[in-house]
Amino acid sequence: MKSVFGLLALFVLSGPALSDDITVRVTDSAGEPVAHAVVSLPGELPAQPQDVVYEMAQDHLQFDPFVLVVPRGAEVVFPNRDRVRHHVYSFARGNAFELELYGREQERTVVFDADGNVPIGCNIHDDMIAFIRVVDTPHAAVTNADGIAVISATAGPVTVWHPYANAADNQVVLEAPVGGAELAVTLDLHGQR
Amino acid sequence: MRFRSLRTKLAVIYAGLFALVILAAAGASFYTVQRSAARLVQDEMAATAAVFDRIWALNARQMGDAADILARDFGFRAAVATADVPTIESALDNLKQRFEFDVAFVIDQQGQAIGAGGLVSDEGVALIEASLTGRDAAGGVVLLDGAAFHAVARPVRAPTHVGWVVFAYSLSTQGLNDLTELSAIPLQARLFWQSGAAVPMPGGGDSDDWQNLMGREAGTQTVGYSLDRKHLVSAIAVNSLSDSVSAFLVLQYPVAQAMAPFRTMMLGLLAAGLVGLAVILLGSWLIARGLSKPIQALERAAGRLAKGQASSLAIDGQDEISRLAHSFNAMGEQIAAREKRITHLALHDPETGLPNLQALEQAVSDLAKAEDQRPVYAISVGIDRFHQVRGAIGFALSSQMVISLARRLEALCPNARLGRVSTDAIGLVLTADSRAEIDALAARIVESANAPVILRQEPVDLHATVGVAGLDGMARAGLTVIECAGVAIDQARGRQQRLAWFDAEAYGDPTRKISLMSRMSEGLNAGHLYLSYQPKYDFRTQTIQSCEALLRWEDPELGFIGPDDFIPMAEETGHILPLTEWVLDRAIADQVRLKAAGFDLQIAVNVSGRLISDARFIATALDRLRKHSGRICFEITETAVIENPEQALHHMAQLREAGIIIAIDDYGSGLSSLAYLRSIPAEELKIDKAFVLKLDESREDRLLVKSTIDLAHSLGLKVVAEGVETADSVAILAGMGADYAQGYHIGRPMPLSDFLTYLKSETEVVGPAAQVRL
Repeated sequence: MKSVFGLLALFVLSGPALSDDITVRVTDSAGEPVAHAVVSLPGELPAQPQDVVYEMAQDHLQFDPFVLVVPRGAEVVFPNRDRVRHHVYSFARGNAFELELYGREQERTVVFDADGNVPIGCNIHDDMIAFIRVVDTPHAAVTNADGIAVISATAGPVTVWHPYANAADNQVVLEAPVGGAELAVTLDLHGQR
Repeated sequence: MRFRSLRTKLAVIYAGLFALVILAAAGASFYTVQRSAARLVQDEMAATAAVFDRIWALNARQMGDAADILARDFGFRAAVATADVPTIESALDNLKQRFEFDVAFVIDQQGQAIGAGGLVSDEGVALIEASLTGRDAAGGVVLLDGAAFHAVARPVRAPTHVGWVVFAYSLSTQGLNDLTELSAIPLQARLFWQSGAAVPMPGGGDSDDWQNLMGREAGTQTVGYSLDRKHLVSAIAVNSLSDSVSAFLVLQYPVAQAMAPFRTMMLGLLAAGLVGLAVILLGSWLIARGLSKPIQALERAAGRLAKGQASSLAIDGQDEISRLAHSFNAMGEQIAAREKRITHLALHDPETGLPNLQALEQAVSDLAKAEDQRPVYAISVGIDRFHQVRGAIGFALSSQMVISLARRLEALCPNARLGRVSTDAIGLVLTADSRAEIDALAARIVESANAPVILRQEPVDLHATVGVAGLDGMARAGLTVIECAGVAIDQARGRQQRLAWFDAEAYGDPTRKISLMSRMSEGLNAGHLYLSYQPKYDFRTQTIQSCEALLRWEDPELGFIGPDDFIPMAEETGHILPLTEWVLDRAIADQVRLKAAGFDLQIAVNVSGRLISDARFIATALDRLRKHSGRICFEITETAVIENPEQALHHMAQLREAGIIIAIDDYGSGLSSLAYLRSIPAEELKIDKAFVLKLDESREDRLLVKSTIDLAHSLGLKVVAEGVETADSVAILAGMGADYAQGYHIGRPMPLSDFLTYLKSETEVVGPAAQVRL
């Protein structure tokens, strides 16, 4: 758990410190900051998967976080912090799984071996929905509440994805700015359905 | 409107009024039934529409629920998410069978319909998907390949949207009719888009006739009549699947069909009205007939009564008409009785009860018309001096006398018709073969009628005169035969006989008298009448100082007509007044002319005794004479004062005051009453010529004339002797002391011109002193 925050902190804090970072600011068509957008640049994954535990918790009948970005082959734990039981599933091609009814403090782990989006739901609670984006690059981050994500890479096209983006595959691909400049991205969003 | 019969009038009015009432009642009932039926049907329609709407909603929910369940099923979601087509299809089939949906399919992320089994085209699927984009759930009408469906769609989430579950059933004829079968009334359901665009729906027709009911929100319903009012329409607004276009479910119910159950009632009402009307018509006719029948009988009876026929009505019942009939009968009897009495009175003398003149006239005409053609005769028996007898014995006894006479005559000739023809005469009318027969009968009647009658046990003398006339002799006289007989009585009395036949010759022609008078009036104007003047010789002066004006009539056709022939007639007919006025005017004018010629003579004019009593004449005479200065003398006979002495004497006094000299004419021939002689304010006395004509022969005449002259002189009167025709007479009269002489010896009556010549010649011969040579 702490390691996740640590990674995030690393991602965020490394932006201004390193000259080869790229800062992406995502806003919607109304100019409001867009959180939960996944910003990624191409890069090589290490041969051995890093020993990082990703978490998609169930808390107050919601998934937390709403959007989680993980490298291919990462292991995600699904801790249940509610009193009720959940039945978490995904029919995502290559990453389909089903964690049949499990209770509080019962942890389940899923390894995601395929790139792509994994919509996650609970069979019992229709309103619980979350997305795990499996990427094949180490340079990926999720925008914070201010719509800002800092990526420690500068080369290659910048892919900005949001589950509700009105775009092909819910993503836009942009050229990376030269010289570590900040990149402003506008996404057209639709409501959840 | 005018009716010729009371029956028709009553029948028409009653029937008309009742028919109006019945029609009004039937109309009101019809209207009420129609209204309530319409409301009933409308309410039923509304209820049915509500049910229909509810079923519609129920279907939608059922489908929606089914779709929800399926879309949330984990296995199904897994199948959709993993595009497991066989699993999806099997699941859809399963539900289709369970819920009897016509169509059930899934639209996946790629827009492909899974499980549609070729029922829905790609366009249809695209349409549905397009209409669902951005929505959670949908339900409504959708048009797929030309066929209408009621569809619901639910999203399949795993957990994000992976597709749509779509259920639908067909709104084909069968589909809609299945719905309408639930309704209590046979409805016809049709579907229309709100745009009004024709939708190929079962039942066809256009939407114009319910356009007025459109425009409401989904789910609301309107009930009303179609524009052509042939249908009751309920328009239920329903959503389309896309929610963008509303549709209408239109339920139609033909009004004729709706009203069909009430038609029997209406027909019943109509039949009841017609039967009622017929009964009323018949009843009115019968009542009117019952009412008018006795009235018609009365009318006929009144008609008979008017013609004088006996007329009586049979009376049955106690009502007003019966009482009227009773009154009518009483009236008829009274009229008959009265008529009988009037007839009796008309033909009978009320005093004696004998038939009267009219009855006898009737008898004459009856006999004249009789078949045997025997001559008709009338015999009139007049009681002599009847008025004096009646004055003596009284009316009652004189009536008895007449009745007694009638009885006798009746007994004498039972075959004759008898009647009282005047107060004092009884007439008999009979037929006879010859006049001799009548003569014999009349002789017997005279004998019988001149015997005393017994009145109150006392014998009273009866004297009667008989007049006889035949029908043959009356035409000339212009009288009826009975009147002729009456005239014959007068003629008999005039001849001092007891019996006389009517003498037409003696009677003359009364119409001639009238024509003579009118001829006289014409003659006055034409100058056929003139005055002749006869001189009077004055013994004292031996001159002519006066003359008498005498009226002469010289008719161009009839010749000379003597005063005796027309003066009495003029007196009787009243022509004497204008005649005398004319004479007076003439005399006055002539006197003026004489004076102009140098002869100032007094002119005497004869004035009828009747005129002296006539105030009108006196007034005009005084008026004329006051304007005239000449001397005028009125010669009046004593009879002038007999009828009305006071009035006559008063008038004479007035005349005298006016300077008129009054002479008593023809003294000695009439009454020669000393009393009159004393009272009349005369200045002259004219001795009738009867005494003077033979004065030289008759000693008695000489004595009478002498004593009359002495009497007159002693009363202060001057004496004129008329009829002086010889010189001896003149000498005798002169010896007797007469004042004037008048006669042929002195001078004949002469027209004015001759009279003037006479006066001049006498003057010339005798000398300027106008001495008359005798």
